[in-house]
Amino acid sequence: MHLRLPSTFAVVAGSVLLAAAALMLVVRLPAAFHSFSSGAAAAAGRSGLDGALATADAVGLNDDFVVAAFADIPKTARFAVVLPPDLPKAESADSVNPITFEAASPFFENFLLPRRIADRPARGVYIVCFECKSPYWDKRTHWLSPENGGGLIGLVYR
Amino acid sequence: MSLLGVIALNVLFLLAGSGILWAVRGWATWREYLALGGIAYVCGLSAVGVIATLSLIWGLGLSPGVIIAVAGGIAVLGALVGWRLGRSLPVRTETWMPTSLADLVPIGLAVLTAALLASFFREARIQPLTSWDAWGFWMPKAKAIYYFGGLDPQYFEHLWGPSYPLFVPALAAMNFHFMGSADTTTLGVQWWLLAVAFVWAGAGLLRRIAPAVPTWVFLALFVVIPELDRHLTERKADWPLDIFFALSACALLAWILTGENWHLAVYGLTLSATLLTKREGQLLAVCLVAAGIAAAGLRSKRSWLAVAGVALLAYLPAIPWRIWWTSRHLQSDTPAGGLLHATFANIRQAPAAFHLVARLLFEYHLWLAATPVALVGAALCLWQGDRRIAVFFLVAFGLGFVGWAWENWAYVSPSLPISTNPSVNPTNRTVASLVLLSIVAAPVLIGQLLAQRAPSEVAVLDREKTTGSASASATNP
Repeated sequence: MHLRLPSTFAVVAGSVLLAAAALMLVVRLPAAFHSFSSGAAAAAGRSGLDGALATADAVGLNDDFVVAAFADIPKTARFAVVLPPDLPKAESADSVNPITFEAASPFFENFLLPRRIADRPARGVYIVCFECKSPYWDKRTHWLSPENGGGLIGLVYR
Repeated sequence: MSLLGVIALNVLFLLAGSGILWAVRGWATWREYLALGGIAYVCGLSAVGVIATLSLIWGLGLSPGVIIAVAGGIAVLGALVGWRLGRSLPVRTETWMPTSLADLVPIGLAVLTAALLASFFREARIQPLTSWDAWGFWMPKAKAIYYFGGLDPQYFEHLWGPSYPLFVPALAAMNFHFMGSADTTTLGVQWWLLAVAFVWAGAGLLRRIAPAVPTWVFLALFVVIPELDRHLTERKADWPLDIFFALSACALLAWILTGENWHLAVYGLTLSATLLTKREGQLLAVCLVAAGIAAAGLRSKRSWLAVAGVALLAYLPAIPWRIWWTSRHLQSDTPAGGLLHATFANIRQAPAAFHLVARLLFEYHLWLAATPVALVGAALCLWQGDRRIAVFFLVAFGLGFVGWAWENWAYVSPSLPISTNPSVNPTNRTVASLVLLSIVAAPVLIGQLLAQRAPSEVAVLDREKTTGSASASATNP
């Protein structure tokens, strides 16, 4: 036996569903236009260095540090991101968000392309040092920029 | 310059897709081409994207010359096939004006949708790349292809998700080549174009199986979904996956209802793009095949051959990629002990996983309520004479719902907890596939309910039952 809805009921139900969808659209429209406009306004001027500065803000990296990395490391060079050996200690001592440490390596690896990431910071490799400054690196590195928000760019020379 | 490059590349996709459409269907007038142009674009994008991923695996790179040769080759091949099949040249459209007053409502809704998309463009054009997954691995892969000429082992072996398919990095790299730089900000326009493609192709596919007013109400609803605005231009693979899947579902449903075989080409191409966009595409493909066979007839050899056969063909381009990454011993992200083991070992997490999927899927402030509308419509259509639409939607939706819950509990770990927090759990993105499925199915379901009053309004649905043929619908010109 094949049960069927009365045709009037089906038509009414279809009309109600269509009306509900249309109402949803009408109610949402002003907010949607506003959202697109405010999104465009918020994005304006944030695409510096192909969005690197906006992302740096989001993960807590200093803008001048990022600008220095772009300026000081040649496009054909190799670089390594160097972080402090004891991250939890550095987080509490220097008030750094763990997200910032987690983001630093992939952030520079992406945004600094075509500069290639090096396996290790050997001689001739640039280092993107974030909260890593220590006598060990001072003896081996020619620092190329002043410290910006805990970040330094250097070239390892021995 | 960058924007011109994106436009030029996408014109190539349209050209290639027009060749495909000409081969499989043709068009009688230029007005008809305008209605079907979105389908042509999506077919071209899928075909060129799939061949681009194969080109990378074979070490050919993605220089502009290669891309132009691929797109041009597809267009010429399609034109030759169409010519061989005797397609007649399109004639001039008699009028571009609406033919009746009833056309004014859908035209008004289409204009509104276009205005919304234009407003969205202003944001998409300048939105910087800030999403973690995008700058963490999707875009580095694309940039590595662009800068180093192919699948550089240094990047493809150690970036996160080394086994992830290549469609999105290849698409982004093709854009970089046409832009002349790795401008990830302007690349947002490519993702915006995917939203335009969903609307344009969706309208083209639905025009034969759903009335025009519900079609455009739901397509406009798609553009105002809050999550679309928030996340489309993140330049990740989630929205492309959902868009390809929903269009594939729509093409398959159109084939089931009209019997016109050219829909199978659209289904196959978009399904292939789905499979090459994210590994989750396999789960969605299973949903579509099961739904297609259930709706088209479990005992019908034709439906098995068409639905499962085309899906099998669509999967073939994914095999070289699998060989590539497994032969290099790249890390797969399957859970420890394998999927089957994880499925049963973590089964106690299943209720929480189902709850999470349900909660995120029906969250009004994320998705509005197109999904509940479609579900109610499907439930009512089960009591109609023709249950194919309801069966198709409910099977695909149900399997997708269970699938996303299963993914949650099978992959659960301290780094991937069952949580509503989008930074540690992707479910608020994955459920978009079911929302888009609802958006393409709802107009068809509502059309079936409304057709009880005037059967001629949804000509295809009823005419097919009586005559076995499916001629043009009068409702969605």
